Amino acid sequence: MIIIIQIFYLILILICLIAGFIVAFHLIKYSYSKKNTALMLIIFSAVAITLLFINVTLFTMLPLNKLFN
Amino acid sequence: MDRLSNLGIKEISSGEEVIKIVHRHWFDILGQYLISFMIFFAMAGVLIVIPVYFPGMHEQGDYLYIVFFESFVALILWIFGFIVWIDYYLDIWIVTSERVINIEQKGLFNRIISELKLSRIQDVTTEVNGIIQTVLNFGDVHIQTAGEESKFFLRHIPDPGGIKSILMDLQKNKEKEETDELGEMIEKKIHENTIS
Repeated sequence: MIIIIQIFYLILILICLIAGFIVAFHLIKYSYSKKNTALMLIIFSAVAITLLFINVTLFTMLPLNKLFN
Repeated sequence: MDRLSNLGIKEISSGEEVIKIVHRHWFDILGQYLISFMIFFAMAGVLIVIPVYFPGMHEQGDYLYIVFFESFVALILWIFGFIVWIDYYLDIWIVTSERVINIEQKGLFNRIISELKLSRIQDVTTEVNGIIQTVLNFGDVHIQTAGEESKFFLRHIPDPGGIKSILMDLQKNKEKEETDELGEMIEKKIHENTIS
């Protein structure tokens, strides 16, 4: 059961990563102002990476064994 | 002002100037952000309320599940917020000294670019509907072209009256330029005929 949850979580994280890359791609490719692009990319990446890191850390801390015992 | 080449659009002439880049009014995306903000504040409220009113939950470690779930929702909200922002930020109308370019971003994977030469503009109409649009000064601008094709439509843009004035002034200048060019051509032809 734990392995299923871990795989499911991995899929969700992958979807988030892909969505994040698509957002970054659009900002780089289609933005008309290079200055704004840099600013938006820094804000987006910094917050997204922080949130992702926090979420993965929290997932590893979850007492999943306790939940299914 | 950044040049058109940054957007991958070729300039018609070397002297083509970008006069104005117009986005939709910020009120247009406020509704989408409002839901995100409400969810965010509700989550923050839950994090504050649980340890106070349900201390047992905090001690048993169940609180960690809530924090994990909320951090995941926060990540999704952040990405969703930027997808909404991209839709807004890349949806633009560019008024140049030669034409009006409409770059329409629909979601992440649909992008339509169309343009209209100023010389083809026949009529410009502004439309401001309702109390919110009147107070915040935004609305629609319809540009009627000479052909049978549908109108060029600038949706929910700020200061539609100002944009209309800019378009009409540019169109008049363009018309004058073309009339002058035609006059010069006729004058030249008459001069050539007189000499021969």
